[in-house]
Amino acid sequence: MAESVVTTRSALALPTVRGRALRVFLKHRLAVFGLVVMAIVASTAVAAPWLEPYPYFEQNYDVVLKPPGRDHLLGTDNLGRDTLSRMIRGARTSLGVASAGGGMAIGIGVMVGSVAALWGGWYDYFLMRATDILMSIPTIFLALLTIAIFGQGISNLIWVLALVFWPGTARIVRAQCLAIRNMEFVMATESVGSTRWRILHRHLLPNATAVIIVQATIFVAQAVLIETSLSYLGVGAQPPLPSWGNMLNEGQRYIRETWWLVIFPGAAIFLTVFALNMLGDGLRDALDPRSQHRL
Amino acid sequence: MTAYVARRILAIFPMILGISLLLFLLMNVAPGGPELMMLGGLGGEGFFSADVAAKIKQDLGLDAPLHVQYVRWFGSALRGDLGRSFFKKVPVLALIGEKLGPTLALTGSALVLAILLSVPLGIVSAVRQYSTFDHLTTTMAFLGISIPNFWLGILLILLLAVRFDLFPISGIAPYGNDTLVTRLHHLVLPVLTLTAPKIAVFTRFMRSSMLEVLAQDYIRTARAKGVLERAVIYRHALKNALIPVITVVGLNLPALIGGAAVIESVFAYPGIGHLAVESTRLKDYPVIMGISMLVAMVVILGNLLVDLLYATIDPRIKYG
Repeated sequence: MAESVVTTRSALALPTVRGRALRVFLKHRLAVFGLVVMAIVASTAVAAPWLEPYPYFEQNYDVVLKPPGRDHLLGTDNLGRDTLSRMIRGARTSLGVASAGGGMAIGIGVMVGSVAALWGGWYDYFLMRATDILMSIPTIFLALLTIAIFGQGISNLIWVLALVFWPGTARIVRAQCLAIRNMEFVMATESVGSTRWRILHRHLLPNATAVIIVQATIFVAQAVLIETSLSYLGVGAQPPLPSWGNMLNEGQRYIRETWWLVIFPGAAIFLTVFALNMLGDGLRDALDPRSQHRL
Repeated sequence: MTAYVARRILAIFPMILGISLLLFLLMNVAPGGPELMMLGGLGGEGFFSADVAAKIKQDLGLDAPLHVQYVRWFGSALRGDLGRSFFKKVPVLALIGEKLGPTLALTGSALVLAILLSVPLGIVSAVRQYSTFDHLTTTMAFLGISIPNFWLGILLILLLAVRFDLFPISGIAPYGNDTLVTRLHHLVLPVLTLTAPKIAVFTRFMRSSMLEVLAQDYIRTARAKGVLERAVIYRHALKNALIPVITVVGLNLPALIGGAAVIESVFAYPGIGHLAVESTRLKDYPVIMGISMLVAMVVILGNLLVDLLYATIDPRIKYG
């Protein structure tokens, strides 16, 4: 055990920053586990149409509410639809919506955060009060309110996630930019006439990338939770399109007769969120030289 | 200090005005109003003539110009009338009042339970950093924030309500047997579900806050002059470590009202969150407005409360 750790370390003892990051990341076993799980879930989502053993919408009244077995590995639902196929298609819905929403949140957050930090003054004041207000509303309530206003549906779901998660990114990017902004090398480029845009994209953003990547991972984890919650509540992804959330809603109606309809989709959400959280934790250790890596 | 408090309280009014105006406008410019929901959802309009939709709009008062509608709404809100639900035809205030009690019973007991359990857990984790106990609580905390809350609720139903039949599956009390005992019996599973992730978050927070304080110079001084370890931890460290925890609890106050929407739906528990979800589906504007304003008030008052508590507890903080 100890020996194997030593050999891994010596094999990877590269004198570069990347080498150090990789080494720290690989030592964080749960993070590696998270990466593997996410690789599997993401490729399932991408290849969903080719992986599904049955069409996800196909109803078969001969096999209603059948427990997991040879023909249907994860059982069937009340309409005789194959749970495994619906889970695979659900991965596409849940992960697709969550990463699109998370990605948009990061985009908006980076813009707002860097403008607030670099332009300062009233821009900073108003943008930060806006984030204060949005962040003090309970997340799920804010999401519900937005859906009440703009309506249900997949594309609105993505906007909701963007709205809910941009303030967090904005504040982190702002803090990061402010910290780097006052360093000597930035002052040096300023003194030789760099414009604010140049400082932003040449110096501030590259230095904030690590923090943004870590944040993105954790936001996608939370976005998966929000998307599945909303779909569970019936205001997110609409049937017949499966999401792990609305599968749980449909499964709960038959909770007295079945267990597989509520166990499998929930376990998928749990595993995905846990993997993303662990991945984020590992990336933080690896990318931030100041953080102390554990394990 | 008095001037500061007065200024903060005065600032509440323009904020409430601004929030209500923004919400009102957004809600009314969005496509697909409640009249379509009444005609059987989006796509239902094809079966009815435009006259019917127009008639419904007129009945609901949605045909007036926006500013007239807003002034009408705000005027009666000032007199304590938040309008009537489009669908249930009862006053919004009565509807909210009826659901507020059950929700507070649920979220309040979850919050109290979470604090009572996580403060000691966090202290022990910090004092015995990297011990087996610490690793155990850390792992549990990570599981706690990763497990989808509503799935935890469903699992508890599957295990404790379906498999072992210890608790009811849903609702607030059986019909015709609405006593304190049956209500408490119905509360157990939702409270458990709601408490679990809060314990995870609070414990992590208490732990890091305590660790930070324990590394301070004055703790070393206390130890150096021979204060008992127990006194160092509970008298010198704990007081200061609790200050940031107040923030977290204060920021959790809005969640008392609007944070249990999903769990209330899992257990079909008739509270504010359940009402919010239902009204969202139906686009019941007056109810959504009412709940939103309630949440906004709690958010603003919660922030004020945290700031004031801070100044009272921590003499280093002064507001001018």
